[in-house]
Amino acid sequence: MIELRGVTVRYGSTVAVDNVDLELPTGKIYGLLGRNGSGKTSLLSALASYRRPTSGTILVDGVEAFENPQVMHRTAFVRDTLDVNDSDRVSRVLRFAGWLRSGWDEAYAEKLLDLFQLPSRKTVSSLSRGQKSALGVVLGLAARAPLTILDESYLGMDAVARTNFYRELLADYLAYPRTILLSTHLIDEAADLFERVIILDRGRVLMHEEAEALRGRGVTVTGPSAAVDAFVGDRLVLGEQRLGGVRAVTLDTRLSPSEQSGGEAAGLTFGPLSIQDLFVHLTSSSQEASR
Amino acid sequence: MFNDRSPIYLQIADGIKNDILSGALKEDDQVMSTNQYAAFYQINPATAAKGFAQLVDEGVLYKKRGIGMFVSPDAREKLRSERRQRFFTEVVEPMLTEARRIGIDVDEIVQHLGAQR
Amino acid sequence: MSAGQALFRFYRPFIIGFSGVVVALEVAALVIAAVNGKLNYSTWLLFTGTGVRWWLLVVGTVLVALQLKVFVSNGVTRREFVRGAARFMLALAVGWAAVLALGHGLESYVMGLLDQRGSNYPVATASQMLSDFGHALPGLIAYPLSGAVIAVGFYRFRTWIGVGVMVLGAVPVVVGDYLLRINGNGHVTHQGPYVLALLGSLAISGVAAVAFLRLMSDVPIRRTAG
Repeated sequence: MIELRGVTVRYGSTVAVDNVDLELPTGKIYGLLGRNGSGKTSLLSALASYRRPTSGTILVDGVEAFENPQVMHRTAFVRDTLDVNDSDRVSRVLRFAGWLRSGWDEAYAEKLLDLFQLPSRKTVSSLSRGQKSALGVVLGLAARAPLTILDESYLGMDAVARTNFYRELLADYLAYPRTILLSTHLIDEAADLFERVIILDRGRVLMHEEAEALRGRGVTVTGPSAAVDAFVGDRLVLGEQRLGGVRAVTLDTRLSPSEQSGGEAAGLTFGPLSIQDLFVHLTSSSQEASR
Repeated sequence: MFNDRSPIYLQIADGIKNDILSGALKEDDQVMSTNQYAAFYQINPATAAKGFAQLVDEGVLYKKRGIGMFVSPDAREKLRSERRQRFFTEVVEPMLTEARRIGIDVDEIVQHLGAQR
Repeated sequence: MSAGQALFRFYRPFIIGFSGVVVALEVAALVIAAVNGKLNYSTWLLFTGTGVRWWLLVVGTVLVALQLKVFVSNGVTRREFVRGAARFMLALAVGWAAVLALGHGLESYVMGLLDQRGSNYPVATASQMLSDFGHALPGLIAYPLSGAVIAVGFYRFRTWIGVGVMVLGAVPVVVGDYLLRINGNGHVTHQGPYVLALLGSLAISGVAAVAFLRLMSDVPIRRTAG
């Protein structure tokens, strides 16, 4: 179990992470979603002991995580800006990881290098953005760390590389089950991989739910204004649009079949809301939602 | 593969039920393991497991400890009778609603269906 | 492997390369000196005494500025890293101090055989070599320590605080220089009693080490631009 209690990360007067409480059972794949500046990287940095929280505590399996060898040896955190030296060759970066990581799987690292077509003789500085990200994925996965944290590890990757990344992540998780935290903006692409989803908004946890609970949770309702108004009643409206007499609203609700057929009889059409759509509605500023 | 309309585990369960109804999966056939299913469809294994658990609850699948999951002997019959009941509420009634909306009367439908035979 | 072992392995080629350069310089200098008459100072003391200290200062800086993040991102705690780095730097300091003294001995012996020692050449007797070692060691400890303290100041704080830390961080170097001065004639000199100077230097290095440990204990791992 990973427990965050009142974790706050502050930079001067800027509050990046604001009093976050989370309980994360281990052995699952988590999706960490949040807009830019929502505090994802700061939260993950605290979780990986890259930075001591300004206040609050993080416990991993019951022990305080910061600077704890037991915890840090078993944690791999890969940021979008890799923590490697630009002048080093890819081969040296991986060799170093092999020296320091007890769980390092060299054969697997080689396999991933091939898969992502990473030239091991090139220096980090000469890699493209997508290749750098791929190097991060190799470092993160081949470490086989019981807590693996990948922070936007797909930046600059093309569609093929991203597909390979998701495929490998899942395959390696199935073969070596562990806790994986994946922060991402590409929600639709990765959503099926998640067991749980955490949504951060302005440094706070907006939602922490099973991914399955979010699927089909929201719904769009479109139809004549009066019919839509009648259907909505006092339900929470996440967003809405009008075009002439037609009104479309997004609701945070799951409809029963009878509600749906009743609505359809009244001339309404219903559309599904993906996790990404739900995320967009939940994290657009509250002003927009109530307008 | 899966749509956003409903939780994936329900779609998994529905897919397996359809395979049983169509005969692609026969009684006492072994179904894919959770991990195989997850790897094949690129989904989280917990999601797949939830779909299977639902089918076990409904008696469509049964577990053999340490071996895997199999199609229950009476699964096909059970599913058929269930689906038959739902056929009229979920397929026929919406059709009639739509027919009324666009001015097709029941006789016309019956005639059309008769020609399909 | 531990952080210390990884550092040794990482630096092995650099140490070998650097040693090669120093030896090549020494041979070249001896040849040039021999052509121009007898040798009145120890070129070996000159090269190893000053060159190595500056090199170690750079290593101390690099440890913090470039290598800390690599270790932490591979699951090594700051404390483990500092411990490993301390072991590595101390071994390097003792090793170089020994090489400095023994090399002086060898140079002195060879120059003696070739009859190239001038009247001012510091002949490497056993006590002279012990003195070489004793004078070199505190400086070889102080220089990398100063480098590391200065680096962590800039790594951790805004520039102007970093500058303040730099001034304080330079103190061990200044004191180390006072203790071990290799003058232009390649002679070891210092003012005052050796024991006091030694204790003074070690005390200041000790204070710097404690400060370094404090600054490193919870230093955030910076994001590198990318």
